[in-house]
Amino acid sequence: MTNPLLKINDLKTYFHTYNGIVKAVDGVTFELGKGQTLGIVGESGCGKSVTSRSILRLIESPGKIESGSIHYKDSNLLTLSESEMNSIRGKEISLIFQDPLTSLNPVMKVGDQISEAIGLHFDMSKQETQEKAKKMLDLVGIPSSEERYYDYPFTFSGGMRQRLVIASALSCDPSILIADEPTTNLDVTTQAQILDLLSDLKSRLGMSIILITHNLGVVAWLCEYVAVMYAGRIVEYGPVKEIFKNPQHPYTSALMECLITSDTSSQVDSIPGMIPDLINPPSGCRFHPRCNHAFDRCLSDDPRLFTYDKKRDYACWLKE
Amino acid sequence: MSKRSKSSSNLLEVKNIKHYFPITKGVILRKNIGTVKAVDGVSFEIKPKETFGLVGESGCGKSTLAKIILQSIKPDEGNIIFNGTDVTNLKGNSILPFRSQVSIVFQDPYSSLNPRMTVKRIVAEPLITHKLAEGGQKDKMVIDVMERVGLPRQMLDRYPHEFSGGQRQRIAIARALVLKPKLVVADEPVAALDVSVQAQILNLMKELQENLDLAYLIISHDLNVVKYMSDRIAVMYLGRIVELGSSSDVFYKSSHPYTKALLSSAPIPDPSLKVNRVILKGDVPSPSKVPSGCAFHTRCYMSKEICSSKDVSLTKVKDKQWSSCHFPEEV
Amino acid sequence: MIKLTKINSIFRVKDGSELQLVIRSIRKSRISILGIIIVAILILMGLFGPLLVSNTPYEMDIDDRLATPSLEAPFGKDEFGRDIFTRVLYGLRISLTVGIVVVSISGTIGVFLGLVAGYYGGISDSLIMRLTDIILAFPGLVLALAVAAAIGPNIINVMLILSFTWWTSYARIVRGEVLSIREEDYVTAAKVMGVKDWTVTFRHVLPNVIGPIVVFATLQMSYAILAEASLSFLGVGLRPPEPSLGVIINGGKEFLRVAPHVSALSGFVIMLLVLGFNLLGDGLRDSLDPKMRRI
Repeated sequence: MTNPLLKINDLKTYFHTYNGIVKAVDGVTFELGKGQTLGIVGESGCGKSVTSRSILRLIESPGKIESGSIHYKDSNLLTLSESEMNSIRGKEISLIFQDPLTSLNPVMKVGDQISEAIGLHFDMSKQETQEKAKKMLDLVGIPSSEERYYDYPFTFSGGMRQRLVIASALSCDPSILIADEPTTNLDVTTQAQILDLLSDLKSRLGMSIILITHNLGVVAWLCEYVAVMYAGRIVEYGPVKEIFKNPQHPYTSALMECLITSDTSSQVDSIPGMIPDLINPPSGCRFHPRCNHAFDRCLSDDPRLFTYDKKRDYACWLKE
Repeated sequence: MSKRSKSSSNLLEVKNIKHYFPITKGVILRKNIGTVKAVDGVSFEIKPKETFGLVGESGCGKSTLAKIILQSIKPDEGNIIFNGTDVTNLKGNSILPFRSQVSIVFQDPYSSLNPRMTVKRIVAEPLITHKLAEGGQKDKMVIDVMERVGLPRQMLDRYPHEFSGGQRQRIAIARALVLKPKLVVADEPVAALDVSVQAQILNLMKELQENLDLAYLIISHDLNVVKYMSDRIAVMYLGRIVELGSSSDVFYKSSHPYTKALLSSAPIPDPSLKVNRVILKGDVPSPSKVPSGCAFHTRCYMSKEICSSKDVSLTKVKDKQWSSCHFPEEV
Repeated sequence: MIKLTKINSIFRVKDGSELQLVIRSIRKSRISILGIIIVAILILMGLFGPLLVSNTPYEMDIDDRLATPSLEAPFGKDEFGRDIFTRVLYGLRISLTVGIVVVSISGTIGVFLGLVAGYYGGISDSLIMRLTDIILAFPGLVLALAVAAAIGPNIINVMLILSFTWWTSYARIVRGEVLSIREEDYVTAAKVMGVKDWTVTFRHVLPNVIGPIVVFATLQMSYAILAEASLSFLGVGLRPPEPSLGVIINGGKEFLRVAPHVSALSGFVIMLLVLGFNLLGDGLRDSLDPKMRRI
């Protein structure tokens, strides 16, 4: 990719627990272009949330970003000081979470929460930050923003709250929005509204989005590129249309087979076994104990994903 | 609902259940300032060995309805008839036979098992409560049902926290089946599980249904799960059923705009498909302020003038399909 | 470590059980271990100490009054020439007895009432909570003083007073826990299964409430010990010549300049007792809280 906005190389984030070192993210490499939407998809424990938090260096003890680099514009985020990171968080790269209920301060007016974020990063008068905040409320589709500015979070429904969170995250015009399971806690119809909103904002504001989810349907709705994660690694990466039509990695194709869609009439498959222990992951390829196509090389050699020169790749020995 | 000539053939009959929660103001002198119409006149039947799906979003009343069906709450109005017996007013010992025939599987496998009990004790509890087996025979029945759900007997002495989500859900299913009930209520049985495990559990449930002649009431917000499992589906909105019919009718020949909106809202894992999405406007109204006329009219994409004034109840659209829309043919 | 593993095998804790996890966590916590050691030593001393000393706590030796600690009298002698070490050992026994009795009685009452209030709610909840409010409105020691003045100052009365007013904290803690536990799915599962309410309370709710109760009980031990010592010091608990630790301190208070060892050593033992139980309680609290346990 020429001139990517974000370049992550061999990121490793480990958690040092009493029982051992949990290799939550164990060598993750990918890129994000300007205006692109990348979906990071995987099941629980695959490391997708930890990856997103690592980008903004929000990892706390016993977790630690061990190695790797995260290049954003001209700097490596992992080498910046804490105050330099503070000017990145919210302003250049924003993060929204799954639970809108806990993302908002219950005792602060919603409008003030947004203008507070603006005031932190821009040199504006109070009047100006309030004006901008109201514009953000309009942008995310909150009706009667003039009045609603002064309301408290509990007066909003779940879907509306998630809009508020999005408004707050976008208030400083970030280049990248990281959305960690933004619709998982919402009802289906509300989810559709939020995905529709994100789609609209995407084209209007031209920002890049990293969307973390376990739902392949959401990926198909919003994303152009997708990275499939398993046990702390990316196992497949490429354009959404191609991956869905023609998944190459056995985990990706197995996952697609498990999906229960409205067309499923016959028996749906499942993947046998369990997600591996990240303290002692399986030798060689981490997926081999559950893979139908495993052969001897899979037990001993660890297939690693390429560098980001290729547009599409997967980490499997079947390739060769 | 239409009259049934062979009502005795129904396993479960839900008859015009209404349950309201009063909203009070004040601490010492409580004043009634409103009512939350959690369930506002719901009726349907479940036949033996059938899987009945109940779909709806938050606030539609499906959880309250489930609690009423299980007789965990007594409804304000209406009756629950199980195998010909009206259990609505039964209490104490007289309701015990009902409790041994109807069991539940919860959504969250992490909170549905007592963390301080061994798996063996958890699964045996129904047997102990109903005094149906003791000692060796009890153990045998527990081992038996554990094997049916695919868990080896070595796991019996372990504690819930030692198992994964999928395994815990199997334990919960084992507990629900140890008394060989006729009806199992499954409240979002796979919502908390990973995708690769969801199918395992649902397939297990289907297999068990075959082998043990079970009927299921599956409650979920996930339409695909409900369609995969159910023979018939009811769609709920604001305390009422807005559509009722066979799985395929409800999915392919929906007769209510809300059903249509629900179906089109679900993200489809196929990026090449261009979906004609119906995105509803606004939020779900609060069950304490149900809109006039048809409760759905405030968000309906095809609402007409009559919809805001005239209420509509579930009426037959065609054989075995009911809808509460003024214009079901236009959906 | 070897000592603990042996104890483990004696009690044969089920592998993987919650108890085993707790014990493992305790083993890793230095605070808990320190607390356990202090408390264990003091309990052993209180239990077996009196059997091992040759003299009684009442033997006086006027010539040797206020003698400083020596080999034959490791804690020295008090204002009447009595061996302080012997008296302290007997005093330990008294303190621990009072502690155990008070904690047991108030714990039983409090847990029971807390369970009823939390599980059944409604009127029983209101009644029990208002009762706790009333009792808590009285300052503890003042109430004890007043009652002791009324019905006579002796050890039994002291224990009774403390037991019947200190159950309130248990009730509150338990009620709070029950309120959250009764919404858990496994409780609903039991009810739907047909388990009777009372059985649900004891079989499902109580075992999951034990954690905070145990923590509070250990901490309350130290409060009880302090209370008994204070009341005895003030003269409304045990009285001289009984060897309560408070009485010993009281006896030595006039001689602090010339013979501080009389009050100081006894005071030091009280401090150790309180410290031991507090450390144990703190360590237990961290070990019993699943979030803090860091498995």
